[in-house]
Amino acid sequence: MANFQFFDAFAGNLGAGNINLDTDNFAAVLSNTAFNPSSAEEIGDITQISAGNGYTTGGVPLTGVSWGQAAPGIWQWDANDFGWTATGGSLTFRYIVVYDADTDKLVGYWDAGTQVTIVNGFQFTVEVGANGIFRIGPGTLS
Amino acid sequence: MVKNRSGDDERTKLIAELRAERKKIKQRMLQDKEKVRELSAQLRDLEGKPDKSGRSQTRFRMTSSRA
Repeated sequence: MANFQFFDAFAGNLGAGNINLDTDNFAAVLSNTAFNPSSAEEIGDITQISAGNGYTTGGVPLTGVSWGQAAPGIWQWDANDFGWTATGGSLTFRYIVVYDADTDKLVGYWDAGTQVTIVNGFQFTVEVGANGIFRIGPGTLS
Repeated sequence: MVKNRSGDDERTKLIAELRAERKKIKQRMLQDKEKVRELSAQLRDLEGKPDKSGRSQTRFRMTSSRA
């Protein structure tokens, strides 16, 4: 199980309308460099892994993005599975960072906990669960 | 304290003008948002959804693409 963590700036940008979870374009990038989730706000604050071997700077677009009510008072942000295939060499990363590709604002990230290497010819997939990437409910709005 | 009626009137007028201008812009934005929502719905239909049965939480998977 992988826990999705928010950047501190996310809630502020959500409230200010800089991020629209329902209609903006979003993307995911790979990073192998630690960042400060309290101060990072835009994708430029994240050091992505080098382009090549199947990785494109800017990451992969999220598809099937939706923002809907999963249960009374519980809202879910969802997307299709996504990932990367290493070709011509390996890809090493630790963090998968999701950002708003329309405004460059950061949403959140998964920390694999240790370096992950996608060996040449292998595919790494983030299989988004039935509970979506994240859920927000009354308990998180206190 | 002496109240400056003329200054208060000016301020009230300016506030009303700013509110009206903001409202006009917001109405245009709402129209654009409606169009964006329509496009987003079309995109979601085209992009489809994977079968997520059997996995409530997000997980990572590594597979060989040569298989």
